Amino acid sequence: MEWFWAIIVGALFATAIFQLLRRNLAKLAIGLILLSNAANLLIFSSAGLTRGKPPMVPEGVETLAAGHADPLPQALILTAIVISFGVIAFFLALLRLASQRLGITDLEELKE
Amino acid sequence: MSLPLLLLGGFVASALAPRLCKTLPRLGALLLAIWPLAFAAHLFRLAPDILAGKPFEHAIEWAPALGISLSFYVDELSLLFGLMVSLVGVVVMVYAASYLKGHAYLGRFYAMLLMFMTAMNAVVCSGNVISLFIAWELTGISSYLLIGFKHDKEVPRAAALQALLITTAGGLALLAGLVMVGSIAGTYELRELLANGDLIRNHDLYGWILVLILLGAFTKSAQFPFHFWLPRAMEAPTPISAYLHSATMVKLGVFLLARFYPMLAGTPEWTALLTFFGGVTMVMGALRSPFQDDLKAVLAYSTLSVLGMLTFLLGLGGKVALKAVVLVTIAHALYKAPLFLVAGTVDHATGTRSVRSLSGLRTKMPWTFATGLIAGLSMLGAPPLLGFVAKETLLDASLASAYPIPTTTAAAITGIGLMAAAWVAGIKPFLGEPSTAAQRAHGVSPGFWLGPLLLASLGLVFGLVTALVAPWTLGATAAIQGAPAAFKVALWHGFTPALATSGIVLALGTGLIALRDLLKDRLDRIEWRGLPRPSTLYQQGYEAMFVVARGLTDRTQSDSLRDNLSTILFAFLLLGGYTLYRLGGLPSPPTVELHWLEVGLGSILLAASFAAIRARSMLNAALMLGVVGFAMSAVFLVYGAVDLAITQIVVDTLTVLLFVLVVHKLPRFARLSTKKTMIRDAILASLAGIFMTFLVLKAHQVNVHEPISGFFAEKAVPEAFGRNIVNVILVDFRALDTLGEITVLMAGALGVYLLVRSGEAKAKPREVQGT
Repeated sequence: MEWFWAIIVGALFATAIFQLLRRNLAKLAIGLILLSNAANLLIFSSAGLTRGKPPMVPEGVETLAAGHADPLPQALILTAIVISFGVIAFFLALLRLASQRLGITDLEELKE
Repeated sequence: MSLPLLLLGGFVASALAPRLCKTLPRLGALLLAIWPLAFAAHLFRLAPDILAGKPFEHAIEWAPALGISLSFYVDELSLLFGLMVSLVGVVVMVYAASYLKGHAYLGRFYAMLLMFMTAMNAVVCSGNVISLFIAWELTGISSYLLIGFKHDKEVPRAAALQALLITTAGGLALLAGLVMVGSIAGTYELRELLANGDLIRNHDLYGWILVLILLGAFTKSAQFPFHFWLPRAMEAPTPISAYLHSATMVKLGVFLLARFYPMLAGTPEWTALLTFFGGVTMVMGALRSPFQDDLKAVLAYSTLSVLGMLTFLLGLGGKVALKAVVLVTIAHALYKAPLFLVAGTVDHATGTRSVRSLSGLRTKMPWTFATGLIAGLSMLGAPPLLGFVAKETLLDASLASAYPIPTTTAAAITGIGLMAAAWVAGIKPFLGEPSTAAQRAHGVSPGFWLGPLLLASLGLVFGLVTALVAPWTLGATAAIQGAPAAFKVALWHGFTPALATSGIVLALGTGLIALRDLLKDRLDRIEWRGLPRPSTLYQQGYEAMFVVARGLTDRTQSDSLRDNLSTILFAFLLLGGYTLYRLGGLPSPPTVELHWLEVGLGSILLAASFAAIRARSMLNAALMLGVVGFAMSAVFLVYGAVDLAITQIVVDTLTVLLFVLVVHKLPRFARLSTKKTMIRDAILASLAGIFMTFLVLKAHQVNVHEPISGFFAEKAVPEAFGRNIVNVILVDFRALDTLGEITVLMAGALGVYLLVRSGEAKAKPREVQGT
């Protein structure tokens, strides 16, 4: 199972990075979204995976028994999902501005 | 008042100096001179105990976790240097009040001078090598400011920069050496280090340590081949040259070598390196010194020679050589500082420092002549001055060395050269018929000659009554070698081989004095070419540094995001990959069997992401990204991350909507890259992917710290009253993080809003203006 998800993470990173290296501004946005997904999956899988046992304390018990999923990476990823949404929204707005105002979609043209 | 407070007082005085000199232009300088005087008085009060073999120690904790403390260790060696720094400092400060009278930046001058003086005293009194290093660098910075005091001219600025670059480059090497010493011995405390010398000397890294520390000392003390910054630093105002470049800063390197003598000395490497470089510096300085035309250049080269001599003597080692180190240090401070100040007075009165155009000044400035004469005779090595005692001891030490013939020859040549230099700088300008420059000279006030004359006379008094310097010499020698010393300090040693050699030196030196002008004419006519000069090498290295830096920057950084990204990725793969390789160990084989649901989800994730990057239109890409997001949330759900699944679905829906709304107008993707770059990028991306795969696998094996999740699992219900632990972490344990996150999102939302608005405004400018 670890191997399987490790390979998926690697593949997601590869597609994200390939996309980030393109000249098209819109593709940069696609790359960013893929990258944030890849990073989340990286944290999620490298912390160890537990099937079907969410970290919630059942009624009537004071502490969580061992064997449940790790709550800490989940909390981190939750934050990451929201922040990356903010980043992507901002980037999309910039992208729109660049194409609307300057008619540019090519990164190399943006240099001038 | 204690030593640390006094040192602090020096910095306070430095800060107050500009204001004080503005309100009291005449008296300010004299008031400021109270600080070095007080410091010297304090040292004198400590002296009886210290000379009795009880060094003063005091420690203030600073960074205990790193073993760095602000500790003070004052033994006989520190005492000697501290007194030299303070007392010569007083003389220089009083002298400068006359020399720079009415100067617009007098306050600034004193501020820098006091800062330098305090830093110097902090170096010599330091008991921890890290705090010693910090004070050491402080002297470098303040001397940079002092050399470049005439900052409106280009030459002093360049000279100051050169001195700074060379000494701080050596300083970096020194720091590396000190850190190595500290990690081997397990302490940075000076006293413990000196007691564990064998540990360092027998260590495999001793060679490296020695070279690194020597680099620090040699650059600071202007040893060959780093000597060339010192003559150039003569661009500083003369009181500064007298202070920094005779008695204090350049002696720091020598001080450091003496300080570390019990820890580093006694090996063949030590002896070879120090006697060679010291010897070359000593002979070269002595041969060049008398043939300079600028008075200050004569003195600068002779200072080089003396610094070389001290290094040479420390290299020879042993009781007699160390005694010579101490005596030469004292004698040099007492004659070189006055000679520099005499040169400054002559310059002030006549407007020139050229040896050729100066003669017959004795009638115009008799007291300055007296100073020059006494100091010059001490430098000559004439009895009964202290310089004579120092020179005899030097010859004694070289005669007693393992290779007496080369060492004594070198010492004798140095003696001859220095004799001629002393004549040229201290005596010659005052004798003979008055030159035109001398006839136009104005007389000088007592402020110009009182202090220098006092210092020079001390050289005479100490020579006549050697009992006055004997205890200090004994003490300092003992401190250098780390063991008690016993010898006599006397003017007259009887008829010894050293006296005979001294006689030869005196005779040959007199000959050189007689022939000096003739020889100089001859030497001036020779064109020195073809010799590789260290200063040229420095200049070339300096320029090469910029070429390399520019080339490197051009290659690795550009205005293209793609190129920068590629560079970062490449470096990341190289360094990260190397680290993974070093960690070694194959990742663990699969332990848990795969469920068909997981295989299905993973495959969808992969397929959708590949489809997203192959899409030819924004709409297709957005749809595929939606699939990726939903597959991610399914993965979260499978592995018990309910909250993540919910959030991911919401965010993903919003992202797809945003994509469609914001960029639906974009044209279809054009193929912008060539096939070649596509392949290159694909390789780079694949490598990064493979690296990430291994990183995830490795992460399962590495466990740096016990996870803190257990804490959350335990405390969530009883202390935070929540059963969903992820939620509790976000809103309770790490609530401040969440607040920060909300703020970031707010800022982002504002940014998006403004960007969208401004886009509309530009698209329909008239409408906006109309409303």
